[in-house]
Amino acid sequence: MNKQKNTKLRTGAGSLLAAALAGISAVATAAQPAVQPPAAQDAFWWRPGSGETMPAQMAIRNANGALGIVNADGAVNTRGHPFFEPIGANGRACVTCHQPSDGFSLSLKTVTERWAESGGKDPLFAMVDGANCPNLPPADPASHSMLLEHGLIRVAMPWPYKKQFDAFAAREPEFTIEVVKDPAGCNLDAEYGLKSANPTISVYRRVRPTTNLRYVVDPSYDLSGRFNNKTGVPLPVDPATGKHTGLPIMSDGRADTLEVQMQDAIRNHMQGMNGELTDEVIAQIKDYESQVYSAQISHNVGGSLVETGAPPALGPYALASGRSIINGNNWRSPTFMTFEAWEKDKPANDREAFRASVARGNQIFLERPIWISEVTGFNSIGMGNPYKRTCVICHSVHMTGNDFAPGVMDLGVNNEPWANAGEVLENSHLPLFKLTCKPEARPHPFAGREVYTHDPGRALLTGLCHDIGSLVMQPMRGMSARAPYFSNGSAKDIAAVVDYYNARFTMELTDQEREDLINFLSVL
Amino acid sequence: MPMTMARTSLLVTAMLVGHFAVAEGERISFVACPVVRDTATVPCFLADNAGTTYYLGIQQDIGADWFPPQLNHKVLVEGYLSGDTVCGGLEIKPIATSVLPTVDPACNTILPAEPGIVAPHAERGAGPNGEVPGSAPRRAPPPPPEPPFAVKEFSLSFTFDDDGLIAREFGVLARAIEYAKVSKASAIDIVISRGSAKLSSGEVINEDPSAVMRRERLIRRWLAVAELPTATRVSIKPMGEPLPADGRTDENNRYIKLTITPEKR
Ligand code: HEC
Ligand code: HEC
Repeated sequence: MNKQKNTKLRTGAGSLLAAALAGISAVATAAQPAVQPPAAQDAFWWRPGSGETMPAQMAIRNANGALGIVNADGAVNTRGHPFFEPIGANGRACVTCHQPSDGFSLSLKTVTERWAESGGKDPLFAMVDGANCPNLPPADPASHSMLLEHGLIRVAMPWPYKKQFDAFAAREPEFTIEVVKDPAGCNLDAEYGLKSANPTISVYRRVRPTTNLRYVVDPSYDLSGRFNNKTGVPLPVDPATGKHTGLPIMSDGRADTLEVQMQDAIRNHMQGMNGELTDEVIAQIKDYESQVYSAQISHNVGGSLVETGAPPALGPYALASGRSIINGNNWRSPTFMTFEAWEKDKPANDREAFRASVARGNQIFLERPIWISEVTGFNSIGMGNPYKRTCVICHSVHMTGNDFAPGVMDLGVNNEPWANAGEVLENSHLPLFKLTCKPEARPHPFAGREVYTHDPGRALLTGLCHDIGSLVMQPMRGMSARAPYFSNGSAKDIAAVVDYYNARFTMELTDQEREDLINFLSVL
Repeated sequence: MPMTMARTSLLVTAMLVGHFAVAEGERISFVACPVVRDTATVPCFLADNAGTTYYLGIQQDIGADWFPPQLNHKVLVEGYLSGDTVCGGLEIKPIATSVLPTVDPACNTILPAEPGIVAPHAERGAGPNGEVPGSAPRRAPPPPPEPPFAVKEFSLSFTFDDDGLIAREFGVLARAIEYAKVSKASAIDIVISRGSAKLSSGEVINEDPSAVMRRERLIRRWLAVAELPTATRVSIKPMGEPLPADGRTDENNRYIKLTITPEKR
């Protein structure tokens, strides 16, 4: 389907944008297309059901500059469009949580503004998952502290898992789960908790961007003959295409395909339609999601990120025309290509100095070896522990920096002792679980038989000790539009992400290097 | 436990090598903490046993034939001395290493790079890959099996106490299943071993019975989605008692063997 879309993009002379993008070869682009970017507008709340037309391209301001959005198939009439209309039962649409201004995620800033403007009545705050637990008093900020203070949505996972998630789930979970601390009050709740009639684990996660998805699930990318290299079992098969998929969607990989993900969204976030969607609605949502690209398009100090001569990976146009199935962990097609154009030893002004800093940041990301250690699903699968390599060994999808292979791994953001800056897990606002691996199970590779975590991750679907804490990364684009970061929102800004890695992998960054990495991530 | 960059010095290997007569081809087998030696390129993995430092191998990736050990875990080393000194340790080659499952925070030594200690050539260095894209080039899949079909055995090997199928074994299992389907197997007889290892010290260690259980679970999961002919009879025999250790070929006694009997015509 995307092949078709690309052809359309290249031949659709109807729009100027398409014509400009058409000039770019399908191979890794080497230069910015000559496109006149739109004027930036202020960030705004896209109201579900507003019926507005979404232009083919937009630029929307954020704290660091502006985010650019490209609809590769042209302007989108959102009237009656299932991504934009509240098609569920609680007034929410997909766009409620996947906001254009926020890079199709949901920033904490937007959440707090919505609360203020709606007095807490916006459907975004629906009790089902926009509150810490559904049975808390509505419209009380304390009931919504996870969302209001940390940008987190409640994700309710049945426990023990339901078989349909993974044909390879252990028959019996290899571990038991105890709730150690439950600040949000849902995991110990008599009606919604682990001991309720429908035993459930509530974890709290960030909204993942619904943009640049061709770099997440490309239907022409076939993993047949490959295996889940973390567990040695075959990969799931997409019933629509018959092809193997690599668990790329959702932070625990629980949706094998975008179709499955949609049903999940309708049922759980929107409380509608018993999760049943017509083929037409599914196609409409999927078509939309698969053609919308976004990335930072300008920076307050760095200026235009898409002008002629700008680094070729920056901005949304490059994403719209880039090839999606290239490994970026090499010199031929590095994840974010080259920033040579911005390298400068003696910058003449602030703009040049900023650009040179970004170029150095990319160099650290691409070239600087770090000691990658104790990452389950990485160091535990044959790479060795530690592994001396650079950021791109993991952030390897060309143009977006996510991971194509079954990328589930445990970086450690939820677990002792690698959670935020050595944070004591018990003092956190997040729930704390203790998972105990049974004697016959192989223990968790680095945490052992008893694992304390805020989010058991993929293990909630497979019951395997090895999977405890393992999560799937998302594309690294549009970061300036969608703080906070990491699946649990524990990094409040880009600096906090860099500080996390600096501590986690003993990088010993200088102040200048730290700033370079921050600047680099802020223009993606 | 976060890995600490312990700089504790090992015995100075260069000296040791001079003092010991190295018996080329001598069998060596022991359990120890691995030690990481940084170099100008990729790190070397070493291990110390009875006052001697051994070289196990270098960092590669999952396409490689040998997988390095993991800090925070002891490693079982089995192999033969090559007679060479590499990266400051006596080289064991051929070598089999097994990451033992128990977490052991005491295994946390990373030695800094030192002039004169050079890692062997690494196909993949510590930065992005060269011209070659990320993963090893995919070999063309072997042609589908053709008649006449005979009884055929497929063997999957494991490391000590582990049930993880490593990259190169995936293909073996996939081919076994394909053979069963194409030959319309009347039977698949599966034996799951429980291995053991005789160390140089004379001590014998046995695989935990749970490793056999987990290997069985792995193979059952595969069979569950294999869509085998309905007439195929599958028997699975997990071993209760460990195979005896001989101190020479013990690394070969941790396996799942599938014997496939084609349809009688
Ligand atoms: C209440 C907020 C909310 C609503 C409404 C919502 N989502 Fe999401 N969406 C999320 C959260 C939270 C996640 C991440 C969940 C996780 O990782 O476990 C997510 C993840 C996704 C992803 C996965 C992206 C990736 O890279 O993994 C897709 C695709 C998606 N949503 C599409 C949709 C669609 C389509 C709709 C409407 C049918 C929708 N969402 C409605 C909150 C929402
Ligand atoms: C061992 C693999 C690995 C390495 C090496 C690695 N990362 Fe990550 N990275 C991850 C995983 C896994 C996540 C997802 C974690 C989560 O969402 O909880 C992630 C998330 C991120 C994010 C997340 C942003 C978001 O959208 O929330 C950024 C930025 C990032 N990494 C930057 C870097 C940088 C910079 C380096 C090098 C210093 C690096 N990473 C090295 C695995 C890795």
